[in-house]
Formats: sequence, C-alpha cells, structure tokens
Amino acid sequence: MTDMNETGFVDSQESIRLENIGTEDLFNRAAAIQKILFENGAEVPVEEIESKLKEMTEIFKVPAAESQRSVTNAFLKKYNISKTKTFTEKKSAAVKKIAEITAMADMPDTWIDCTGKVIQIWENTHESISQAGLVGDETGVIKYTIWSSAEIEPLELNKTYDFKNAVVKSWNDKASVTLNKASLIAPSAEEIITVKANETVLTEIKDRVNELRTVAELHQGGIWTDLKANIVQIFEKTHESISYAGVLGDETGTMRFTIWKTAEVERLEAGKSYLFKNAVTKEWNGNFTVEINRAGKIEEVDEKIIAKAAVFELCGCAVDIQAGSGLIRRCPECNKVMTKGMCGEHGKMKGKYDLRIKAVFDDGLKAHETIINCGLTQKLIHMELEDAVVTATENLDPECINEIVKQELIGKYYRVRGAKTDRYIIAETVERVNHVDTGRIERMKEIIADELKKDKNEKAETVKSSDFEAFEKILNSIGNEDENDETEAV
Amino acid sequence: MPGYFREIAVRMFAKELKDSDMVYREEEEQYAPQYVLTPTGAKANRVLISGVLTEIENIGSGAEYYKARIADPTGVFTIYAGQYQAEAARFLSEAATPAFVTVIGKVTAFKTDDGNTLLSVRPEYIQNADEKDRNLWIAETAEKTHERISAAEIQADENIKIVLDHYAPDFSEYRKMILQALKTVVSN
Repeated sequence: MTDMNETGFVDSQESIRLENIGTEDLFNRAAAIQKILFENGAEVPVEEIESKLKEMTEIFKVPAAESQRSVTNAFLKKYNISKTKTFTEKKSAAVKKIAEITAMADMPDTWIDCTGKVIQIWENTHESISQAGLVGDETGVIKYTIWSSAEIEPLELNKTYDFKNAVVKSWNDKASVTLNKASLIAPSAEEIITVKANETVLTEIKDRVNELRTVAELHQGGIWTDLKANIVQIFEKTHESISYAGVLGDETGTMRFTIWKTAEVERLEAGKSYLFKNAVTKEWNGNFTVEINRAGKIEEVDEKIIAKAAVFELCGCAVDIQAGSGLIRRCPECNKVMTKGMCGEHGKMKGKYDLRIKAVFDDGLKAHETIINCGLTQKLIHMELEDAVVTATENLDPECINEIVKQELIGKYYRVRGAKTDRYIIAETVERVNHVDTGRIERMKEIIADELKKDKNEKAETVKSSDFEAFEKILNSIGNEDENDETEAV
Repeated sequence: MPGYFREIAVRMFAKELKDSDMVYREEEEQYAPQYVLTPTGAKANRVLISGVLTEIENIGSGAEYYKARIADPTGVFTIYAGQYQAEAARFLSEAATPAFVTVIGKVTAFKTDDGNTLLSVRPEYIQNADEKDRNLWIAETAEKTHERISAAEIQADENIKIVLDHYAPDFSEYRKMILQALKTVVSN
C-alpha cells in the first residue's frame, strides 16, 4: 500500500481495488484465461498466466479486470488465435437466401449466414461504418452494413462473398444485413452470376432524372438534384477519399460541395462553371453541402454563372503572409497547389506557375485570412507572372517572390473587398490605403477635448463632494467615538 | 476554425504599454498564450506598432541579439530580436536610425530583481514604413484607444473590474495621451 502511494501512479480508489486482488482471485482469473486458451488448442501452464497477471496488477498497477483482458489477448496473439473466432464460433447461424432475409424484417437481431454478390457500394456516411452497399443473389437484393468494429477488409464490387454470423436489422420495415465484430466474411467458392433486381436497382440511381435546382433551393438534406454552379473556392486540405471540396455558388447563393473520389472527377478549376448531375445534399453542422458520389457526374459548362456571395469589406493592416504565397506551381492534371514539385495526388509533375497571396489582414477586431489571385497579386507586387518566374530562376529560389510579397505588404494598410467563405475572404479588390482621413482626426480631437473638459468638471465636483462628506463625518463623529476610525480613513 | 484563432494585433501607444505591468496566462500550461492587461482594458498578446526606430544596440555576447527603441508620440517601445527572430534581427543589423518602421510582434514581460515588470516586444516582422503609414497607425490607434476608454467607463466586465482595481487609471490622462498623438498628425 505504501509502495503504491509512493509511485504516485494510482489514485486512492484504484489502490483499494488493487488491494482486493487476493491470491485466490488472481488464480481464478488465470484459470479462466487458461480455459479459453485450452478451448482454442493452446496449452499454457496456469503459473505462466498467473505470473503475467501478477506483473500487470502489481508492477504496472493495472486494475484486475483490465489485466485479465490484456493478458488474455496477449496469449491469444502469441498463439495466433483469432479473437473473433474465440468468441463466435459457438454460434451457429442458419443459412438463408437473400429473399428469405428480406422477409425477416419482423425478426430483427436474428443471426444468419448467407452468400451474396456485392452489386453496389455506397458513400460512407459515418465513421463507425466501414462500408455499406447492396448484396444480391438469384432471389433478391438487400442492403448490407459493415461496422468499423468488425475489422473486415472492404468488399469489392461484383465479387461474391460468404457472410457468416451476420445480423438481420430492420429499419422502416425493411430488412438489412449488418456485419459486426463477431461476423466473418470470406470470398465465396461459388460465384453468383445473376442477381435478381440488379439492373433495376442500379439504373434507379444512375439514370435518375433530377430537377435542376438552384443553391437557394437546396437548404435541406437528402435532396437528389442537378445543379449548375460556379466554383468559388477549392479547399486545399481535404480527406484522402475526397477529390475536391470547396465552395460553389450561383445567382442565388453559395454553399459547400464535396466531390468524392468514387465520382472519378478528374479536374475541377476554381472560377469555372459546371453542371452537377445527380448530386445529393447533406446536412452538416446545421449547414448544407452538396455532394457528388459514385452515382453523380459533372460537366463543364460554357455559361458564365456568377456566384452571389455576400460582399465583405474590411480595412486593416497586413500582419502576416502565410506559407504557400508568392510563386507557386499547380498540378497540370488537377490544378491543385504542388509542394516541392510534387502533387499530392499525381506525384512528380512539371507544374504550371501561378502567383497568389494568402495574406492575413488585421483590422483590430479580427484577423482575416484572405486569398489574393494572380491578377491582383501582379498589381500589388508590381511584377508580372513571367517576370516572377525569371526572378525566381535567377535567384534559384521560388521563395524569393514570397519575400517580395512580404516586403511589399506587411505592415501596410489595405482596403479589401471580396467574397467571404467559411475561412477565407476571396479578394476581388485590394487597395493600399493612401491617405489619412484628416476630417476624422479633427472630429476625434474635438470629441476628446470635450471629454477632457467634462473630466475636469467631474473631478472638481468629486473633490467638492468628498470635502463635504468628510466635513459632515467630522461633525457626526463629535460625541460618537465609534466612528473615529472611519473618519480618519476618509 | 475550432481550436485555433489568430491573436489580434492590438493597437496601443507606447505610454499605455509602459504603464502596464499586469501579465497573465488564461491557462496554466507552459505554452498557453500570455496576455498583458493594460490600463484602458486592452488584452494584448500581439501588438501592431508604427514609429521611429531611434536606437539599435547589439547586446548579444557571441550570438547577435538586438535591442532597439521605437518611438511614437507618447513614448518609446523596446524591442528585442535574437536568433529566433532571424528576419527581424537581420533587419536590425542593417537598419539605419532614425527610420520609420512598423512592427508586428508579441508582448513579452521581464521581472526585475526589485519586482518591477518590464514589457517589451519580440518582433515577428519589422518593416520599413513612411510617415503616411505612421500617421495611419496613429489615427487608428487613437480611435481604438478611445473606444476602449469609452467602453471601460460605461460597462465594467470582468477584465475592466480587474483593470480598475489594479491600475485605478485616470482616464483623462489617457485622453490627453491620445490628443497629444493626434496633434502630431498634420494633414498631408
């Protein structure tokens, strides 16, 4: 007990619990572990298990239950016994055809085995789900969900699998199949060739005819729609399963968009307009995004769509220039900014030069991150893109253009107008503030001079009133000794 | 952006920073941002300064470590730049005095043996400026300081209560300071 306190690792409650692990308890736990191992064909002397448990509880001060768990798993691993197998093989589930499972909507939580061909894989909607989609056999098609906790490799499209220990779930009177920690999936020996309803299900989504809606009409989740919009901004850092994410807009407003890798969109450029086909809206933190997934596609359109965005204006001092400013290179394939000659997606590329500035303008109330495009940058640094490339080459350092940007902008006041997105202001105009508003200065002087006069009068009054109070107190204190202290304090 | 926000560069005159000695961190952690609470109720981690570079001194023994003075109409800011402010140190090693400069930097505090708190600025950027830039800064700093005083007089939030308690500031003194600064701005 004293030892434990000295280590300082355990709180008092834990120490009490640890103290309760008697030799008998330890032995029982070791025996339980031995039994599990024995059932899985591994013979381990109970003393060996006991000494491991003792090490956990006494040296590392791990609570008994956690020690048991950890030691069990360590031995299972040592003898190459699959955890899933250990706890599940006892269950024997009935083999079902898909049509039979579909009819089991009123029997949720039934364990079943089945064989099915993956005919559709859906966009992942939740981190606790590793994959969802449709599987089918000659009798029908059903939705499947693989929980992340199942630790099962994602299934491949058009392959046939044997599903063991799957659970039937029911949602809105429709049955589906879920795969959890206890489930096993293995490629099937027999391939299912014909899947009933395969074609109809697929066409249902792929060739759905959607209404062409505007951004303003998409303030609701779950709408399948077509949409013509201009790409206002493309975010640089996104998830690996996303090809492009950013902000798009039309005459009615702007919203976020996400284009998943599965949509196989090769190239998207900010400033260009596209027709989004078969897009779907999602609610996200109270905002709405429009997504393009496997079922959707985009086409560039010639029309010039102008995104309506709230014009944002500020006047502030340039206090920082962020990394990735100055002379940059964009991937010719996807137009994303490359770092050290590498595109995050396409690897080593020649790259196309561009100028831009990511500046922070501070107006004393907020630091506004602002993106300044090539045209505006050229004006601000008095240098054309071609000259910048020449200068960088002569200096053997593209960073030297960023130095010029810093020299030119930092510490100077600018008036910035642009479209405000989630994080950045996309600058439309950036003008150096060139003169001091002397009228404003004169007005300020007057106001402050007035206030100073008032201050003076107030001070005079406070002096007067405090004099009076002191005098009154002196009067009161005569014949009242108790108040003497207070009088002195005044 | 959850988690991260950039500290505003607070506009304040040299006198206000010189009068300040209340430095605190909102969290106990070593890397939690440090703030100075000034007599007009500004809570500053970062400041924006524009003034005249009047003196540069290399006080480093061995490695270069620069101490410089930047004057505004109300007083002097002291800045220190060493190896971790490489750009600023390089600027100071080449700069001539006097010169108009603008500095963006962090307020740092040093406690002397006799218990006084000395505040200085560790520059993130120091850049050449001109008189017009300086005047823009004075106008803006005057306005922001005046706003702080007005706010402190009307509404006492938690910080203002601490400020009034700690400094017992005479706001007319700071109004005079603003007026003094504004008077140096002549129409151009």
